[in-house]
Order: sequence, then structure tokens, then C-alpha cells
Amino acid sequence: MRKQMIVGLVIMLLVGIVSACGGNNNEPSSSGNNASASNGAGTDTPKKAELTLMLTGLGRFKEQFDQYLKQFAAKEKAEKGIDVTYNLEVPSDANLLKTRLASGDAPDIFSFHAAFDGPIFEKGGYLPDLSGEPFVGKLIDTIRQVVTINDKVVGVPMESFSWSYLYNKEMFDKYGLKVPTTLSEMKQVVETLKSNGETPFMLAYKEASFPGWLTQLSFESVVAKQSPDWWDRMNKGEASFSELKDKGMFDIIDLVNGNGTKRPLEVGADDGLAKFANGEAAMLITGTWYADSILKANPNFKLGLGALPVNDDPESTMVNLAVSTTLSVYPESPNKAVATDFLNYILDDKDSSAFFDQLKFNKVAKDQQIETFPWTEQGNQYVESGHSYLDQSIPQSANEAIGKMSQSYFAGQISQDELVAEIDKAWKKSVQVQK
Amino acid sequence: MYRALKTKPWISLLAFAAPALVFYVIFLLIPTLGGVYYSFTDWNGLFRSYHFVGFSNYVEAFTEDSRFIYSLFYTLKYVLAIVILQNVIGLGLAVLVESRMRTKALFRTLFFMPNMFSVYISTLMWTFIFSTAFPQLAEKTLLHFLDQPWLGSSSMAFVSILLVSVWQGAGYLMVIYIAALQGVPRDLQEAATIDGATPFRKFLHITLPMIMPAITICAFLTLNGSFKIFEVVYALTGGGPGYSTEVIAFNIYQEGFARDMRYGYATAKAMILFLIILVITVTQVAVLKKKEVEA
Repeated sequence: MRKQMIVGLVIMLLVGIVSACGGNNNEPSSSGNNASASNGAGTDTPKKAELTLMLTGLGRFKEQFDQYLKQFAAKEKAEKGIDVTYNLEVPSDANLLKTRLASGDAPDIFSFHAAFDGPIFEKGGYLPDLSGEPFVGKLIDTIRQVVTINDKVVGVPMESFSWSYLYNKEMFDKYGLKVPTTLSEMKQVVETLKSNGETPFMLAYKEASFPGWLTQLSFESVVAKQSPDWWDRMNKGEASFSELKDKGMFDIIDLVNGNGTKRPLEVGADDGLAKFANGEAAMLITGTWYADSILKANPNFKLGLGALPVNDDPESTMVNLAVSTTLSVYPESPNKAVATDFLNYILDDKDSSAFFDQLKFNKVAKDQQIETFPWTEQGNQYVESGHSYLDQSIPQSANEAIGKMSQSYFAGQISQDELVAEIDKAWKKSVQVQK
Repeated sequence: MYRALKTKPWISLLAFAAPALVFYVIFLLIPTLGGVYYSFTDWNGLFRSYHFVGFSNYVEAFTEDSRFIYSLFYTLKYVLAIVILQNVIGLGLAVLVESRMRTKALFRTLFFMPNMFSVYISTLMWTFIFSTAFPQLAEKTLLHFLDQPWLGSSSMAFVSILLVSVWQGAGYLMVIYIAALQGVPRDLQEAATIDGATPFRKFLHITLPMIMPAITICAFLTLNGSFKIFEVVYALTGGGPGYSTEVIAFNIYQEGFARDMRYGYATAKAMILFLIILVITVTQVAVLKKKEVEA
């Protein structure tokens, strides 16, 4: 009798465990229910919609998004009579979104990097065609190109940067230096700094992305001016980095690597930013996305943005114009109509300027009025004077190889030719895999 | 009741094993089998459709992926060094700690302590030591040999990875060895002393054979654990400079998450790692088991 009781209890426990495991699986279907309620498609007006949003890496802006979503809910209620509630997630790990997309449990609205993830998301059928939406007409032309994949506008660009290298304005002023426009001028700047006992470049090469950015900026500038068709040819397997090597891609790389801070392979990002903020070197090859961290390390820091020269043609000295955060709506979302309303509301004529201002994002629409930082202003000047090129999609394996091989090259483990061969190989493989 | 137990022993056995079994099946067995399945596909972790590609992932790993082959040999080198170093040092610490009656508890705690920290966090701490503390020590004291590119060259990075791994793992092995040392019968030792054996001979001919079961376990633990090393490399060098310190687990991680998201291919590599560990550990346990003796 007692034994049967024990067996019974164990079975109950097991049932409990199994049903608890199953519990999670029910959630999507319940959200699917109220989804179908809101998916009236014309015949009867939907009354309620619960939007799910996954904005990867935007945790620091949660408050601003909360506020804007509330404004949106009020507007939607007033104009269309829909009660909008929302569920905002701001994970730091980008793999979460990919898992949710693959498992069919996609959020209604999500953020992604148009140049990195855009092509593969588009291929997987996870991006909508928003070309006909009202917000498209408001976008600045160059920015619109970055979020256009296969002739479809796939999302609302939000965070954009023009970037190349950052410099210490105070130090430049102290020695009467001007932002160099050619490689020779840059060499001059380096010499002046060195003769005054300053280190020209902050190198934080423990993370491969830092040396990778240097290589990326260098080859992209060379390509932008001297062989614009290189990207297409490269993605067809007909071009090579060796062409760019012959066009002097390594000149600036060697100049930076040869005049940097000591022991860079042991200096991580945070460490390097703090040292740069405290005046240990005059320049740092990275983008303005680190402006916050630098100012946190030294609130009085005077941050400047310059374009890295690659040769003696001042027209080749350009900044990279990138869109790092784009918001889009899941094409099969049951709340697609409401979600698309929200995307349009992001560039609302009345409210978007204030929103972008709070987020400290650069303007993406022609009519936005945003107070900008001095370094953003410098970036905009480069863009407006034609000294910029659009961020292009580098296949992810190639991107990783660029970082890793640039690190090896700095460490003296490989030659220029080996770097070129290794990146070519990774690029080729990537293209082959993506087919 | 007694009869019931006797006729159907499997019911009560099942009742006790079932909870663990359910977890094992749901969280370990099914995902593992799923992994075996996906290793034969070209799934990229994102698309809903994928193709069955047979053994081509496995073939590619050995024929085209020079980086994977490199990481394989690099890991083997690391495993060999760690199994020897960690066991020798763990056993050495155990003997030392055991020989000091008064401060035994203190040193046991001190040496075991590194094992209680999170691997990732303590490795970040080591990064600071290598990049800042050591160079400064070298500058301000006479310890000039500390001025090395600890993480900056591939050969020194290997030494650094070994150093951190041994620092973390040796204390754990020490505890196992202490337990084993305490199990060595005193009368054997005393008999040998009376026969005039030196401490070294006593250790070699009495202690070592008697603690063979502990050596089997410790060798198994280090072998198994060091093949799967990930956090130390991830936090210390990130596989760099270049690919030079990339171990298998890190290579798999990069393949799946940092490169072209080739989940199917990365899973195939994980299966290869699994098979390697399986074969080597089974062989190791079988060989060392034969060397165990009874008192």
C-alpha cells in the first residue's frame, strides 16, 4: 500500500515536471490568440493588440523607448481606437533573436544590423517589404540605401554613424595640429606628436575588432575611390585583396601600427578607451559609438572625429557611413498593421525629432531637427562634402578574418601576402556558404 | 509487500530512477541526438529549412578546414601539458600540505580557493595581472623576467593559458589526492621505515601505487576537462593573436556564433570533439585501472 503511494507520488511529480516543461510552449499560442483577434483584416476593426518588441543591445535606451511606446499607444487609441499594449525586451545577446526567428516565435518588432545581418535575414524571409510606407519618403537618400536590400526597404534606420578615427582635440590644439587630409599630412602629425613626447595612436588590440577596423577603413577607402566595382567583383569571386594591397592599402596600417602605444595585444577595449580618455595617446581608430564610454572615463575630454587618410589624394580621405540599428516588423506577425504603424511613428513629423534627440542618435530623416554633438557635426561635414562612403556588407567570416589576421599581422606572425590570402579565402568560403 | 518487491523489483527501481531519467532524457539525450542529426545538415540556425548533406561536414572539417586541424593539435598540446602539470602540481601540493600538521587547514583552503571563483571572472583578473601588474613589477623590482609579452605572442600566450589553468585546477586535484594520501595504511609506511627506506623510496613504492585509483580519477578529470577548455582562452586571448591560441571548443563557438552561423557544420565539429574525448578517456581509464593495486 505504502509502496503504491510512493509510486503514485513519483508519477504525479513526473507529470508535474513534464507539464511544467510544456507550459512554456503554450505561451506563443496564447499570444497567437489575441493576435488573431487583432488581425481582422478590414472586415471588423481590431480592438486590441499586444506588440512584442525585441531590441537587442538597446538596454541603455529602455526608458526612452518605453516613453515613446506609451505615446504611440495613446496616438493609436485616439486615431484608430486600438488598445495597444506592449512587451519590450532588450537582450544583450544577438543570438536570442535568431533563435526566436528560427523557432517561429518571432517578436512583432525587432532590431538588427542592416549591413551585417540584413542579407541573411532577408534570405530567410524574416524581413518585410516596407518600400511603400510613408516613412520611406522622409529618409535621407544615403541612409535609405543602407536599409535597402534587393530593392526593398526592409526597416526603419535608427542609429547611424559616420566614423573613422577619434582624436584628442585638446592635444591637437596644444601642438597646433590640424586634422590631416592626406597621408603625408598624417605622417607630419605623427612626427610632431612624437617630437613632443606624445604617442600618436592608442592601440587596444586584444580584441580583434580594433585592428580589424583599421584594416576595414583602409581597404574600404581605397576601394571607394579607386575601384568602386570591387565589391561586386569580390562577391562574385573575381576580385582579391591583393589588388588593394598594390593600391597601398597597407600604408596607413603600417603607419598606425608603427606609432602606437606599447603592449597593445594585452589592452582590451575598456582599458584602451580609458587610457585614450586620459591622454595617453592622440588618436584612436574606432567609431563614435564609444563616445559615451570615453566621456565617462574623463568628462572633460574634448572628442574630435577625423577621416583616416590612405594616400595623398585628399578625396580618398573618407568616413564610413553606417547604420548600426534598424527596426523592422516580422512579415508574418499577426499584429503587422499596428507594428508598421509604430515603425512609421518612429519618423513621425511631430514627435520623432524629440525622440532622436533624447536617444542622442544622428538624424536619419531630412526634416529631423536634432541638436548634435561636436563630433557628430564633424562627421556630418565629411558626409556633406562628399567625403564618405556607405557601409557595405562584409561576409561575416571575412569580417572575422579581417580582425584576426590584422591582429596576427601586427604581432608579426604573418606577412601582408598571407593576410591577403587568408581574408580572400574566408570571403570566398562565406560567399559559397551563403549561396 | 515483501513478495511484491521481489517479483517486481523494476517498479521501485524505476520509481527512484525516473525523476533523474526524465531530466536526463529531456535535457541531455534528446538534444544530443538532435545534435547528431543536425551535424548531417547545412542548417544555419536561422532558416526554417535546411538540407541533408550526409558526411560532407565531417569530410570538410578534416580536408578543408586548416584552422580546425590547427586547433585540434593545439588542444592536444594543451591537454598533454595540463594533464602532466596539473597532476604533478596537485599531488605535490597534497604531499606538502599533508606533511604540515599545524597549518594544514590553512594551506588546504588557500590552494583550493582559486577553484571556487568563476573561471571567467578570475581569468579577467589574470588579464589585468599579465597586462599591468607584471610589467610594473618588472619595472619597479628586480623581477625583470616578468616583462614578457604574456598575451602578445603565441608562445607566451600558451604559457599564460597553462599558468591560469593550473592555478585554477590544481587545488581541486589536491583535495582528491589528500583524501587518497590519508587512505594509505600507516603500517605499510612504518614497516618500510623500519626496513630503512628513504622518504623518496617510500613515496615511490608505497604511496604512489596505493593512490593509483586517485590518479586514475584525476587523470580522467583533467583529460576530460582540458579537452573542453573554453573560458580561459575566451577571456585571456580571445583565440589571438590571430588564430594562434584557438582551441577546439573556441573554434566551434566561433564557427557557430561569430562567423557564418554554420550551426550544422559547427555541430559536426562538436561531434568530432565528443568522439575524440570518448576514445581517449575510455582508453586512459582502461590503462590506468590495470595499474591499481590492493593494500
